[in-house]
Amino acid sequence: MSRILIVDDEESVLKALLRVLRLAPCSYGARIFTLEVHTFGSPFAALDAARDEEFDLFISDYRMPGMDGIEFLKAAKAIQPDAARLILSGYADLNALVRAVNEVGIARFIGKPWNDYDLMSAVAQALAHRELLLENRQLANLMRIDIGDATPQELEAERLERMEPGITAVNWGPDGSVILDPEFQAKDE
Amino acid sequence: MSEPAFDREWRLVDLLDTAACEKVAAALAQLLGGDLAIIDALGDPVCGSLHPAARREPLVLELEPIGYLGSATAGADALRAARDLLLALLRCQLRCTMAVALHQAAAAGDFVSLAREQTRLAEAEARCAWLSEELDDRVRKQVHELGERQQALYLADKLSSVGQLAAGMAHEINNPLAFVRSNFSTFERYLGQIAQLKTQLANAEVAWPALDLDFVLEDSRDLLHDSAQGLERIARIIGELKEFSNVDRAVEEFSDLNECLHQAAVIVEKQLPFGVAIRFRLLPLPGIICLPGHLKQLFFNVIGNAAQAIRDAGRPGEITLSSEVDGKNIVIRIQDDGVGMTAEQIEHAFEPFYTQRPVGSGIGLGLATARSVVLAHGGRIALDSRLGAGTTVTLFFPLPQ
Repeated sequence: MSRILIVDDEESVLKALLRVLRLAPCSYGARIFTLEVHTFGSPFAALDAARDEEFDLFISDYRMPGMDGIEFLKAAKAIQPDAARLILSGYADLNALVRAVNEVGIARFIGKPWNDYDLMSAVAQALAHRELLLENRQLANLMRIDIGDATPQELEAERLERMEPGITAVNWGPDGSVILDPEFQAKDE
Repeated sequence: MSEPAFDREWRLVDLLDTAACEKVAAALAQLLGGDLAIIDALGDPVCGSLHPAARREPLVLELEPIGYLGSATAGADALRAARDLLLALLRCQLRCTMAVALHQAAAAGDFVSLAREQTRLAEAEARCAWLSEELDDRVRKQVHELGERQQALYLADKLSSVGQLAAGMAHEINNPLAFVRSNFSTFERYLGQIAQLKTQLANAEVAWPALDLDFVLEDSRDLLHDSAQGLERIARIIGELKEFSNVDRAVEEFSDLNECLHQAAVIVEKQLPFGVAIRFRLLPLPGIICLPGHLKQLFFNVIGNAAQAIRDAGRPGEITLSSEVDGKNIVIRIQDDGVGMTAEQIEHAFEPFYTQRPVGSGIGLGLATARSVVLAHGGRIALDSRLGAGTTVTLFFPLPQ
């Protein structure tokens, strides 16, 4: 099951996308993806969700009130760097496109109105690409364990660190206690 | 030159005309107490007739004798004395005549040079007239050419704002277009599902839930409703554009400026960057006779500038549109809290082709056009701006007396 998050300030667009993604087959080569789609009308609500749950793919409109698609995807990338990213927009100038590619590293820019087939193949391709990257990393890790470059403990720590940045660093207090929330320490001083 | 030179050889007759000669001859004859004749240098008698045997004395003024005084009866001494007397008289006369001739020559010279001067002046005048005619012609031609060029430039600027407009509109229209199109292709799939039911009519009780037709029916309704609304939106946008495109119809109409302002603002609103809002503070206005198309273009330009100024400032902002009647004028204010302008920018703001924006985003005719439109309505435009604080453009339109 691939989890997809879609942000667009227009509800009708979200509904239309839901219909397409529900009905159309999403496949890349022999690989068939089953999709679980979550839609959000506001980029802020979407970011809240991204902090709590893991997604495989973010799709964002470009022009939205409050935060444009590039800002949103940048923020989403900071939270979940492994997820693939797409922009779906009716209009963007060259500047926006350059930023989208350079700052966010989007997999694809899809214009509105979209073609259902193009959309599905872009989604499938992005998901397949992401899977490939993750698989590559896993294989590389296995190899590193094999040749003794890394221990399983280190790799596990790396994985945890990715999931929860900072979790592997222990913050010792002066009296030997472990400080879980540095804000409290700041207040004491 | 027709006048004789004053210093020519003088003849006797030039100095003494016949009447004067006779008077002098009579007086001399009286003094001599005998006959008397005066002849000129060639021997022709001037006065009296010379006796062939008469004694004669030459009348020498300079070198050559100019005539002779002769008398048959008078003594030699008396005749010489009479000759000397006549010579003294002739010398006097000569001086007088020379002076007159000199004066005449000078006057004649003056006249000739005056006449020459006069013809030269006349020629110059004719040339001047010809030149001025040609100049007029050339000016007319250039003015015409300038007018054509200006027209072309206005057109270019309009095209560039049409480009910006199109970019903004693209997003507005593409959104509904996107979901309507996608919905229709979804609907086609739903129809396929419904068509499948036909093949399983005998087994409808089982097939209906198996094909998920409850959902299909429900969603189809929703989908068609959404699509209808999307199409409605596209129609509205195009309607607004059409309303706006009256720009070319330069027809005077009795219009409410608030309405023009509103229509222009609606168009600009579509292309506003994030964080820019338009606020209306419009008081009721009396209608005036104006060119609504041009005014809408004017408002569009100025509000567009305001939006751009806020975008340049890189922070959220607000454009305030206000209108009121102030004595004899309708006053419209378009105020933004964007980047504002430097003193130099304000100074040049109304000059055509003055722009601070990058190439391609307009050629700097916005405010120049705005001013000419306002002037055409007998109004005026004022610009007040502070760097970093924002700009206010105030438009005054006179009310009919």
